[in-house]
Amino acid sequence: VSRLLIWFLVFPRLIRWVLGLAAWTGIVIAAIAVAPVTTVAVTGLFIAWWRGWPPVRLRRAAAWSLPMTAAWMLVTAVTTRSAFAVIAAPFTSWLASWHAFSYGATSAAFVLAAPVAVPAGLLVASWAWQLRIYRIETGLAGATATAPVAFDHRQWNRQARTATRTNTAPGLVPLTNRGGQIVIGGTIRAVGHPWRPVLAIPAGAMGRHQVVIGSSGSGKTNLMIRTWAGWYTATRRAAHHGAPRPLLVVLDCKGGPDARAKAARTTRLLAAAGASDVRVWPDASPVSLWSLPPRELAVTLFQLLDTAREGPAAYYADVTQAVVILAITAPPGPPTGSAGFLGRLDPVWLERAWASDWTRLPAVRAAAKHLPDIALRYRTLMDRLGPGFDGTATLNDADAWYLILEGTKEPSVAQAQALAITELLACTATSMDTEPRSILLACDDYSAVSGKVPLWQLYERGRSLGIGVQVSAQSWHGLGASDDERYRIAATADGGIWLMRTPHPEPLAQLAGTRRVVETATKITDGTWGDEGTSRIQHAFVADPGIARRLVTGQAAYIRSGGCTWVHIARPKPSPIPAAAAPVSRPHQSRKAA
Amino acid sequence: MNPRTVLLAVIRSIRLALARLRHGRPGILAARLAAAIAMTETTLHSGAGPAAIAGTLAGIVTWLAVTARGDFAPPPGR
Repeated sequence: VSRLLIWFLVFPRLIRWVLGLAAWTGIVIAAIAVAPVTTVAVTGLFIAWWRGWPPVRLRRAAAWSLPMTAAWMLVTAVTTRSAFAVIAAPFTSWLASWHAFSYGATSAAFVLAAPVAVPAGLLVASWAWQLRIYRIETGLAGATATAPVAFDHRQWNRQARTATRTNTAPGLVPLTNRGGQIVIGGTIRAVGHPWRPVLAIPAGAMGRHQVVIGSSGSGKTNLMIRTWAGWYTATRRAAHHGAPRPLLVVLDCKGGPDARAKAARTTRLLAAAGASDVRVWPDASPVSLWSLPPRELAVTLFQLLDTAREGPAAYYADVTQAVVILAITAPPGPPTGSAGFLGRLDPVWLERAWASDWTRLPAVRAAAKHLPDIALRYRTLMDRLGPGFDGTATLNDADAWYLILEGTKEPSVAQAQALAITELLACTATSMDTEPRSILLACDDYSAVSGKVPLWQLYERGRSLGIGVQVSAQSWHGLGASDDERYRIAATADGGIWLMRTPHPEPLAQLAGTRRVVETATKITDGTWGDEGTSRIQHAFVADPGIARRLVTGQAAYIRSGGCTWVHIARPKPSPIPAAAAPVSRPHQSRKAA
Repeated sequence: MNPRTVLLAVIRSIRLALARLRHGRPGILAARLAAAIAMTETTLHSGAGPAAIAGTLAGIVTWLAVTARGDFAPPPGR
């Protein structure tokens, strides 16, 4: 029995132990033999661990150190004029390096070895770091079963610290990079996306639809302002090469003093980014609702009122609509202000205006008895809407609009204002008589005013008009009234989804999809982890909802195309150096001319 | 090309670089430059061959060019 035990239990373990010892001895001897490469590899490995670098960053560092190898080989070729000398150079340099080291000339030893040792060492470090991560993540290494969790947590902290440090370098986080992409901030971690030290998204992504979800205090405003300024800068630069000028329309749907502070900050930033005309509505600059084409104006005015769509009360809705159409399309032309419109809701005025049109006159007479009521309702509506729509400006007159809707204080008024503004924007986007513009509509907390125009409708309308729409909500539930609406919005956000700290990130994490990971289960023997176990392929979230829940202020996930990049958003700051070029302006070029 | 135009362009580039540096992180860039100069000095006085010195200097220049980008403020319009 004892012989069998030795043969089957002790002997295999002994063999394994001896083989392991031999392998490690070989590795140590090789590491000493190529000491310069080992030194660089160990240093690279330590830096990667300490700063939370992914292996690809070490590979890029190795690639960036290749010019030194190229220069070294070139000078070797020129000085020796021998191909053999160039081929043998790594070996001869290695020998010379050891020789110098043995004489105490450390700096000479380093210089002799560096052209080969630095790229090779970094490459080895990258491989070793990748192997370490793989072994830890799959459960093949680590002292305890919780090692993968602890390792991931520690690496996240280091990656987040590195990303924060990246954001302090002004040259790394401009509003846009050299390629015209919108720079967001230092990358923490990339899953399913190629890793870059700084996340930059194409300006075209803003021309599609984007969703931003983040609870209060998660840094949503900072992110949105950065994307607006970045988009404006990129589109303005494209306008220098013949593309349409940018028109940014921001709907701040919560209102209040915070909205004023945000408007002032956005105005300052956009002005520094080259926007010469940024207007804040309704505080500083009213807009003209009456510039809408007569038919659209009539429909909008009718929609502004709350009317019954079904039942006996629908009769009054039809009468109101007929009266509004008669008042707006009357032969003298559409009214130019609310006072003019209210003045038309008068039987005498309407009868005089339509006196020459025998086909419409009976309609005017039939509606006459309802006119005082309709006039009263519109007078109340205009009083509530305020003077914000009685200006002379159109949306196309400015570079950017910051529109403040008091969605928290006066929801019903803000809903009506939101409806009117979306109509004005649609008119700006489709008008053939005005200059074509590249439009981005950004709606901050739109759910506060979505009563008359649901978000999904705004989205679909924006898509059909070629307007980029960016919407933000404080939670998944703030996106829409039902799950159907929410999924309709989130699933069509082809410009990407920004996920910030939120207590319910699962639906968005599901939209990001899953990736395949190896899960290892280890057998427990006598209360300790044994050396047997099983591994299997499992699916894990690309955008880990656990991470999304514990994000700190300023951190976000950018979900797009089945991948997710975790990023620390840099505070938006335009170049402090004034641009020499004059702002682009082609105010007289209409769409027809274009 | 007109030499005057070239000269003006060079002067403009230098002025822009100085403005970007002033609004960037001049302290950190100075530390980087000091480190690069120290490494260059060590390399030149190491006694290694010309090929190894040239290679190491190329590495120092590449490192400086790649890492110093972040120390400059963004150019106008970005």
